[in-house]
Amino acid sequence: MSDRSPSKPRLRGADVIRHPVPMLAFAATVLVLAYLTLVPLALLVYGSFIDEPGRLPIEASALSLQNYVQVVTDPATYRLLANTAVFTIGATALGIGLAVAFAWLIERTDIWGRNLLLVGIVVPMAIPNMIYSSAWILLLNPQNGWINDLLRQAGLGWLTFNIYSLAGMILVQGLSLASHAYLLVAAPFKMLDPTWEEQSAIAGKGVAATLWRVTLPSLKPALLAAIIFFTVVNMETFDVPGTIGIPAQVNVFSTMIYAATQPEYSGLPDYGLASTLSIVLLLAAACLIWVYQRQTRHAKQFVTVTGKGFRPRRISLGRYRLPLTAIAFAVVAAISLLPVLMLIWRSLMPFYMAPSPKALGLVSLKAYVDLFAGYDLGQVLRNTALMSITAGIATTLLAALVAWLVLRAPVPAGWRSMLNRLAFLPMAIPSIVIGLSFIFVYLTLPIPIYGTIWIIAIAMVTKYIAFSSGMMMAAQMQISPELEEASRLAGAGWGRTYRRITFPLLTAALVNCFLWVVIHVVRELAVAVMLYSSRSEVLSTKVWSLWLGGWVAQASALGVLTILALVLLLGLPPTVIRLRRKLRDLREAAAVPAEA
Amino acid sequence: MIFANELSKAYTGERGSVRVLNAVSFEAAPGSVFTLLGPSGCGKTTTLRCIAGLEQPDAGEIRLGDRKVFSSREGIQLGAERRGLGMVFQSYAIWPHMTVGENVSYPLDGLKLGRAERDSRVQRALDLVGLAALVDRPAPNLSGGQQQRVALARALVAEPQILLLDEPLSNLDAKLRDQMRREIKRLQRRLGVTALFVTHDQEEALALSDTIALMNNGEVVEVGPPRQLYDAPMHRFTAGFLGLANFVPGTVVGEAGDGVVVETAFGRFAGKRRSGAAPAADLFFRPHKASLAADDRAGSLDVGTGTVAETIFLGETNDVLVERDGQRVRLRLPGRLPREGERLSFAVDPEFSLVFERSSAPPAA
Ligand SMILES: Nc1ncnc2c1ncn2[C@@H]1O[C@H](COP(=O)(O)OP(=O)(O)OP(=O)(O)O)[C@@H](O)[C@H]1O
Ligand SMILES: [Mg+2]
Repeated sequence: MSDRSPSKPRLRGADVIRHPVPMLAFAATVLVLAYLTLVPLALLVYGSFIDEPGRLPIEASALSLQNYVQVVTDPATYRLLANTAVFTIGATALGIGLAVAFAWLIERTDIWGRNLLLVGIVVPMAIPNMIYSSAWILLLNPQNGWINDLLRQAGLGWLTFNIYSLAGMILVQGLSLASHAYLLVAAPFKMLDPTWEEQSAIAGKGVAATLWRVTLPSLKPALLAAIIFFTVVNMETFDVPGTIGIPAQVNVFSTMIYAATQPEYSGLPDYGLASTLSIVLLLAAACLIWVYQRQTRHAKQFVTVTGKGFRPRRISLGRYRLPLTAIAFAVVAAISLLPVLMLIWRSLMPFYMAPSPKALGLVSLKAYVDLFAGYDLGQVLRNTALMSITAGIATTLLAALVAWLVLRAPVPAGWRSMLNRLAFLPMAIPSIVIGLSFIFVYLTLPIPIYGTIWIIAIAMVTKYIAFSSGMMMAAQMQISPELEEASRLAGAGWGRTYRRITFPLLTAALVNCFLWVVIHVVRELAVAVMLYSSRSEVLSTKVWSLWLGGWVAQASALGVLTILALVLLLGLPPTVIRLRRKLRDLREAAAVPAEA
Repeated sequence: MIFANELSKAYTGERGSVRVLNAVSFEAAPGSVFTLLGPSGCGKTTTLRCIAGLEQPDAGEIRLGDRKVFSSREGIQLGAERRGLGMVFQSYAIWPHMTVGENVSYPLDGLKLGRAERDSRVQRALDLVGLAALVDRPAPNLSGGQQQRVALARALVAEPQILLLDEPLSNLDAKLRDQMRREIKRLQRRLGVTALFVTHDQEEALALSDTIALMNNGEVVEVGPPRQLYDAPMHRFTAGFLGLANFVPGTVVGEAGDGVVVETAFGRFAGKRRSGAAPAADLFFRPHKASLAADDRAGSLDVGTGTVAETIFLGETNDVLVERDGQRVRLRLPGRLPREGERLSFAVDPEFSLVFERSSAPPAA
């Protein structure tokens, strides 16, 4: 028979079935992930030992500990640490606090206009943070911020707020975070077992006591996980500190790393110092991610979720219903409506005019026309589309492969958990650090993509592979292994089984994952800002450079267009799901007569 | 034919390695229904998955027909897709993104058949299970019984010599289970395939099998036709696992013909000796192998006497618990329902009495 494998006389290992296809796929995936994460990190560590400003790690002549000495001894580092800590903690507190308040109001109480509030709170999802920051600068800058102007006119000059401050950064980051955090904390609120709250009400506790003593403690694991997660996000974020903090000269780690690489801030790009700062930030993020992983693993054992389709009884707000509704709508308007309207207004003005009936006469579409005529927007849009779609497809496919290999591959369990950890690693790498380390990689390796959109696309894969792998693993877990095994028994090898069974069953998840990545790639500024060149501008960097260049109307116009595009993309998954359902219904309807 | 020789397998987990299969050997004759029966967790599914090629044993050898598909000594491990088997999974594993017809034709994809041949094979397989009308139905909207049939048609469409079934009936309600049991048996006979069937339901095993391999703790305890395992088990575990059983503690006091005589609290009984020479022994007999004895036979060989402790009327028969000196036996006695507290003598058919060595562990049943 031809079925003998002549080499190994004895088989080893408990559950190893030696199959070349999964083995090759496994090896290839490990190599790709290592290339995407370990190679950049290795060069980053190497770079941190080089103290020759203006030179890349590859060009350096000697290694030294000087960067570390400088970082540890320079008082500026401690100011940086303090700024980063205050910014992170402040923004997390504000964002999570708002998210929890809205989750409770919308999911658990009888507040009016719940659907409208919900839409309002999630709108900032579609607004890149750099654009969101610009809108708030238009509203709250000390010279002619609209709100500040109104306050001064009303004789409330003492109430004016200078956005160019740590407090301003915290405000903007916190408001934008509220919408992301809302999605994370609303689910546990929705599924919380209402009988616990009812028990407390029966025991004679009021609404506030019930919220404080029963509801919040039972959500503690989920809230703690959200807090840690968004702490990491705030710690590494670049958009808000970059847009508000740099002109205000309030630096945090991410902006300091950026500034160290930009000649206009530091004379010569100091890649060594940037690397060392990156490593400090990376280690802090890694610690928090480690805690986060432990916390979420722990949280699973403590489920407060019953999964049954009950309709939780809503808490009646009584006489607070009207005032709370009013406050909630005011806050949502401030979070979503006000910045967007301001941005639209500014994009229609050739120069800044406070919104007024008189200024309406000046409304023109000139900024939009400029974008297409004078700023080569076509090229930017093409770049953005190509880059984000490529990154989306690559990330999604790689994530699907990682998910299958981690959950199903016929290789020892130890290997699979190693792969899982490798895919999760980028979670701890701040965007700005990914950008920096990719500069090193592609100025070192003989791969000529530096300065093109492809280096940005690859960096985006690194940035989003951890999240995407998590998403695809959740989807892969939904597919019973027996469905794949049945295919193998039916004579299909690994390849055909994956193509004909696994992959089609993952369709919905793949589409969702792809759209999710595209949306985030389009939003992402920090990675792109480190890697773009005049040839490879994308939407986020174009808004950034227009804004920095003082082309405020054009930046606002492009911001409005970006938001529009993201709103469409965000609306796509529900549409796809509806469409699929409709198609299935049609197919079923067509199949019914066959039974008769 | 399926031939398994000394299959062993251990899973290595966080808390060391757990032995799941321990030198499992059996041979299923061509065209027969061979059943792996045993309590939950005894390794039936693992054995089946090893045969299927979905799992790799650590040691041993598997042959299917004249093909060696696994051998640890020679380093052979044939992938599941190359073993040419049909399998029905416990969950049926019907692919939800395909129609019934697509599900059933899938195993033909690798066979390079013409379109007409392919369609006629699918048609035949669906006819076999009575689902020809549902070819174009999307798979998700099928009832449990229909899914089961689709799974069966899919397993049979490539005309395999061997059919593997892992608890295929356990997800069906009692009535449907009975019906499908008959259908599977009918199909298997008609097609002449060798069926390897896994179940933990002893009744199902007795009804369906030509041969049963009884497993416990990753080992094959006993192999034989259902009747033999039921009436004349060689092992205490078999006696206890299949059907109702009495184990009455006693002492071997002599020989009688080709058997021994055991003294118990109820009286003296003759029975065939199964193992060991120790005088401490347990008398085994099934409740329905006992009958009412006339009072004047009390004290003679094979007759026991005790007090009725509990009775339950079961329709065709009565379940009677008889007690003496703290020992109890269960009897199935048709006819008159004895009164509780009544003194009662019963005779046990010596043909069906067995004497097992006393075990420290309580019997499984
Ligand atoms: N992947 C695995 N890792 C570790 N242990 C396993 C694994 N699969 C099975 N086992 C263990 O092996 C033993 C045998 O499992 P198996 O599924 O073969 O039992 P079974 O006889 O089919 O039981 P049941 O009637 O409940 O289906 C069990 O103790 C089980 O816990
Ligand atoms: Mg099983």
